[in-house]
Amino acid sequence: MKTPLTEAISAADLRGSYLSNTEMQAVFGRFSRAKAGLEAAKAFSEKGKAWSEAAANYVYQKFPYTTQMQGSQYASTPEGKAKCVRDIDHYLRTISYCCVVGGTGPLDEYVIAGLKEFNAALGLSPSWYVAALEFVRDNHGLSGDVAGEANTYLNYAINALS
Amino acid sequence: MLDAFSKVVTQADNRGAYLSADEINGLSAMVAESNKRLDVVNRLTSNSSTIVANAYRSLVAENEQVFGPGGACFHHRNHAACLRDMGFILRYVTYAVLAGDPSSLDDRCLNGLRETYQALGTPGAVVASGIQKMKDAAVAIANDPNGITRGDCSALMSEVASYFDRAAAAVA
Repeated sequence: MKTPLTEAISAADLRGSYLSNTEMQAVFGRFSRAKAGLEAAKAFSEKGKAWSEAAANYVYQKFPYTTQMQGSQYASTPEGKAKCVRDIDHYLRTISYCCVVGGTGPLDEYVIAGLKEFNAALGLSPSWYVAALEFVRDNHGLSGDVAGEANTYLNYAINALS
Repeated sequence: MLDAFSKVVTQADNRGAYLSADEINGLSAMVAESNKRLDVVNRLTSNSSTIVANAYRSLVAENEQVFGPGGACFHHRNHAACLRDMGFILRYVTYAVLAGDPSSLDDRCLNGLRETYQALGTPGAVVASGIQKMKDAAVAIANDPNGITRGDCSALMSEVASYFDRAAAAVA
């Protein structure tokens, strides 16, 4: 998985050499920022479920048709609503993983690969998830470097969906 | 290839769960001690040729029948290949120390190494013995308390030793 540490190792291994000072500097920078990332991940662990539910409710309000249309891709039934929360939680969980590793590897591998085909096949609109992630970004209540880490990956996912 | 962070992430993903408080605390502890880790990588990297050359000298002294006339590692070309391979193994061990996870060592160095040595007629037990010698030298250098703020590095040293042991077990 692509992370700052594995990228440094791959760069050194490509040359067949020990880690150079350039790579060590990059890794040093990664470790100095890791604390904020882990704190962000902790916030996701504690509040992710609540954020998912609040974000789903926001999506229902922003796009009222999502709770009115019949069909398994919509949230007109309790099952549909449960799936909606589950899917938003899946995004948030993977974003919390990105905060842990300090890179976009988890989002790239677990979410973005095949995302367009997945949404198209099931009739899901990316704009619902964009709205949900924007809601979480604007209402998570984190601040400083911790918010910076979380927002980096929330925005990355939003851009990938857009 | 994984590092200590992505290793925990793949485990959490298999459970479909956010990271637990214990997992986050474990990684935070590793981050708090990260300067020690980087110092160890620096020391191993800076002393790599010494570690390899000294381990090799002692290996040759103990295994005359392998390195001498008629042995599997006779003549300069074979000596050079052996030195090169020991350097490879040490290099991938430094990668594993940096990542805090042995997957770079496994994926890029150890997988298939035993079979390669068997096909070439290289005695794996002698290579394993050479790796053990590098381990002793590497730990001695990394754990040298001179010229550095003193602290407890025992956990990190056993981690470093474990990567050498892993490499030795893979070829023995």
